[in-house]
Amino acid sequence: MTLEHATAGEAPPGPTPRASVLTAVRAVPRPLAALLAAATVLSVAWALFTPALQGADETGHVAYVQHLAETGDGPSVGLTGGRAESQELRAFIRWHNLEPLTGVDTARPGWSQVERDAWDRVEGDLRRDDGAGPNPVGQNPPLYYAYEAVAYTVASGFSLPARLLAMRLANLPLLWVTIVCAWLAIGELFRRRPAPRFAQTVGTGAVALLPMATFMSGIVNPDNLLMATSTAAVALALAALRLGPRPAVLAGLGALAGIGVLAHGRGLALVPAVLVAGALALWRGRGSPVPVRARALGAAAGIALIAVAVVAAGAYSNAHAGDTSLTGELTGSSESGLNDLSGFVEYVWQFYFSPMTNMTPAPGEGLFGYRQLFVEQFLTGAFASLEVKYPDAVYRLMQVLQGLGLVVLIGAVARRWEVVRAHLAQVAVLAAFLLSLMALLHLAAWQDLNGPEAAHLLAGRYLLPVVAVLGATVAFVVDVLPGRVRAGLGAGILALAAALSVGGVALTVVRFDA
Amino acid sequence: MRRVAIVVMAAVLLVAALALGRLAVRDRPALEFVATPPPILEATPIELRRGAAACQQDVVLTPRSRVIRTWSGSPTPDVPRLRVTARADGWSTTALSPERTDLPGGGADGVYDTRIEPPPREVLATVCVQSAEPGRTAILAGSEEPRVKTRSPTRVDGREIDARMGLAVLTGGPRSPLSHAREVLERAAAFWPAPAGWLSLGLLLAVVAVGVPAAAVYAVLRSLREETGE
Repeated sequence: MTLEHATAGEAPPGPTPRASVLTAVRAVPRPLAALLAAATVLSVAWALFTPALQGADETGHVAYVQHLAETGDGPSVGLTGGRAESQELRAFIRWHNLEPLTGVDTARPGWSQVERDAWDRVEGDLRRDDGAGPNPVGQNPPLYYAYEAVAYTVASGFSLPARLLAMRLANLPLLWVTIVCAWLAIGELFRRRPAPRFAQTVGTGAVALLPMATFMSGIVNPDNLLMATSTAAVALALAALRLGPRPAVLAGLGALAGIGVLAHGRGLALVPAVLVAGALALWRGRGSPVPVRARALGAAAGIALIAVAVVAAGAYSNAHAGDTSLTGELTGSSESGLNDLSGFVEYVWQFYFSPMTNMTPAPGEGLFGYRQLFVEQFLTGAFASLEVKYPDAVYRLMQVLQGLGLVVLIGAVARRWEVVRAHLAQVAVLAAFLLSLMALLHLAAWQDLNGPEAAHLLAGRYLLPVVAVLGATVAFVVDVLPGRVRAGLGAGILALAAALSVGGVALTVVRFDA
Repeated sequence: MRRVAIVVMAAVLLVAALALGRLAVRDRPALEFVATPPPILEATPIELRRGAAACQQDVVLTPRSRVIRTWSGSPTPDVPRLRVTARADGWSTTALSPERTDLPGGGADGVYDTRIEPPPREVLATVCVQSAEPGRTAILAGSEEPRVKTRSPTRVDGREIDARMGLAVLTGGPRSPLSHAREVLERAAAFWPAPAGWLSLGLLLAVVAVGVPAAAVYAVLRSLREETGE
């Protein structure tokens, strides 16, 4: 079944067992193809214009991949007989002058021929397999790193920069999965005739041209696998409401949640969301022709897959980081934070709103709340190690625009309440993915704030797993508006996203190389 | 509806193009190499008494290098001049910071810009800084902040110190990215393997600048056509 037919919910015109690749490519809707092409160009540009290891925590992730590829085992968080990075990686960092560069916008990478010559002289004689740790991301589950290790191994006969580039470009299929699944998810929400292709395009474009999504796909980071897996889970969860509790669907939801858990500790947020989706599919499919035994089997398989993934991820993390954590962002978590529930509620309130009288300010330094997380680091973007930013006026403009967007969304829900009510299950599924992730992030952040360093470990890229929810929301708002306003708003959103993406790449080039 | 979409997109993309143009022609410091970035939030003073010199190794100097920049850590604008010495295999040079310390780059404004004679070829040099005025202590800005890192530690009279002295090399006065576009692209391609080079990266940048907005416009117009048959 082609994307067109899958989205429209109709049967293909006939069996095409010998359909050529060309035919399959032609079956991709043109607007989707254009968005895929644009996202691919942006991803390649981010991969090449972001200097090596300058993505978020990229040194640790690359060291993890290298050690896994070279030795068959991942690095550890604690002290080992080795180092945080291999001898080869350390020399590369030294001669490319990358260490002073990370997160410091007054620093520059090494560009000179004399530095490249120094690197060329040493690179062939250096060990690649001694980066056993301590690696600060060593507790992460290994699935994404194993995926990247394939690219590393394929390029193992080439120099380290070539292997780094191969690892970055290996994210492209994950980006494509994300975009196609966002398209399918939005298609599931708008199953009517004629298909609202414009709203679907704008919603998917909000995903494909989201600067943070393409930027992250240009660096080595497990958030890429988590984003792809979560978006696929959203699409399948929405499809499950239509398809009913078929065993393959229920098992598929479990498999995707399992992949998410094995990709990163933050993938745990997928578990409650797919459980809600599975429960809704079972509830709505009470009278479906799928036999009860088959439904039970599917549900059991899904739950078993999740359980196996959680146990495997936990076992891996325990072996490589002791019993401290399952995820980077939960590493420093103390249990004390959970004992202060009123403090947690006050913290979450102050994250989104102004403090009420008698509220205790959250611990830690600096202001980090809704604007910084949602507006600056997610919707607009901050690149490299967050030091590449747009001018503040851009963030202020985006804050105003997203505020207006929220107002329009509320108005759209009120205006089309009967439609929303008729699709409450779909709304519940989208809400489950969003709330589950936000609950996990806030809980982890609250624990970290109560830890010894009172660090606020939240970043806009952590919201990428719910990028399909963003796309669906944008599509809904665009779809509700009347003719010309709708066309203007949708076109404006995509033009703005394209402009921000191009601007982000340009700012990165200027920051590092001008 | 297509006309509305075209007008809106053209307006947004025009504003973006103007902003990008401004970014391309706005002057920036002509940095050639940053051995150690300056302090970010908190400077640690490095006091150089009579004869004492603070040195860093593996500083890249090229035939285009014109200025060695260090930062003053003095609490007052009354600062001495500096003597900067650079040495590499078979080459060395010595220079004094500007005679008028109260002018920009003279030290009183927190920045010492010392003009040097560049080497005839690219070298990895050892750069040393000391007070040029007998009896006057020079105070340079160093940093012990964890975020400020360096390729080689700072040594004062041969002994390694905790503070890292801010030190950068410039090719001259500020200039715009557009004025040396090819050099910018060569830098971006410096460590990547072939076929990444200044030409291929330049083409990629052009595809990003033109192709991404074009794809967005195409997606919008095509989807409107598919939906409405306009």
